[in-house]
Amino acid sequence: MSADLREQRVTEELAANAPDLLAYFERRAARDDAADLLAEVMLTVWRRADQLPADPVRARMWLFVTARNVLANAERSSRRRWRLANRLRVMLGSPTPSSPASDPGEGAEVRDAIARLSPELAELVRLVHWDGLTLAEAAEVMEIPASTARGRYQRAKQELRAALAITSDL
Amino acid sequence: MTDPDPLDELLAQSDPRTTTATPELREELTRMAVASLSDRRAVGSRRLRIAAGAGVAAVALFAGAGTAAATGVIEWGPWAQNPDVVYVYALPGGQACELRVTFDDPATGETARGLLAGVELGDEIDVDAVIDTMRRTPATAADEFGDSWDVGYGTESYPKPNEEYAQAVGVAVSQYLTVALAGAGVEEPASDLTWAATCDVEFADER
Repeated sequence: MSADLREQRVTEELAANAPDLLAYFERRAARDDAADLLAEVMLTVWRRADQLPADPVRARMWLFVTARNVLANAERSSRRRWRLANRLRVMLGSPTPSSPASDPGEGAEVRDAIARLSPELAELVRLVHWDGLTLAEAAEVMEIPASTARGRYQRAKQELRAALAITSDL
Repeated sequence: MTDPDPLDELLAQSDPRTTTATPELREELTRMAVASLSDRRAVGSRRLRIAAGAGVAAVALFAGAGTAAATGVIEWGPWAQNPDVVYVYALPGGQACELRVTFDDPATGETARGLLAGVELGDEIDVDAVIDTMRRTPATAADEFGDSWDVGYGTESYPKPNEEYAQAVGVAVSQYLTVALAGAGVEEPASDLTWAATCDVEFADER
């Protein structure tokens, strides 16, 4: 593949998946950090452009894996992404008319219960129920076997059901 | 998900609020996707220029860091709220700039503050000398794809006057801090700092 075609393909995949990647970070990090983290993903993807899978679905999962790794390394980097995300940071800071007007406190009890799960179980629940991934896709993003993901998912739901029954009489 | 378990509904409802992907947001995300390529390349060329223009001991201090420049757009991050070094200067075009440096290690930051107490950085650094060196030094940038291009003085890639000056200020301040910190026993301060500069001009508009 020529350099031009590769650049075009990477740009298209980034643009297509950027809204979901941004939401991924907004769900897991401070809102101000989400723009920076997305910018870091983009820089990382360009560095590893030759590894971008050809299949769009695989490419999307690869981007989520990259996002997950960036989040894990977030505390170690904050420099180059600063400039790149400036405008987006301002946009996120200004609520748009079409933004959902949901109460930030809505669902807080459930979010707290998720946060009390072990990190591996919590991330699996978030990927499935917040990011809209299938269990198989979530397993791919977390780089674990699908069978392991299924077991963890059942355990997570059991723990959540128990925790929420205690706190909300479900 | 076909599980009728009411827990699924609760989990879906607990999804934190995220930004709606409006056309404007998608447009900005696409711009970022394109800009991130040039930004990645710019980092490589900036490294080369700084390395070419700086003294031996000063090469690494600001290398790899970015110069942010925008009017009313940039917001200083938490790291820059209480910087160890602040230097205000003017570009050739008259626009004001501010450079901030924060060291991750409080001890290094304290040392830097002490070294700069009562010092007027503008009197200590020689920006014109750095610019002269930058212009006389051939430079080539390359990326991981094997592409390379000339970014030296006289090429399209070489910074325009305002950006050239801002970069030279970064190098000059870097040189000064490196020498001063080394004299105070601090070696390799580049590994623990964050820096950025903001100016009343959008460098991208100069090109």
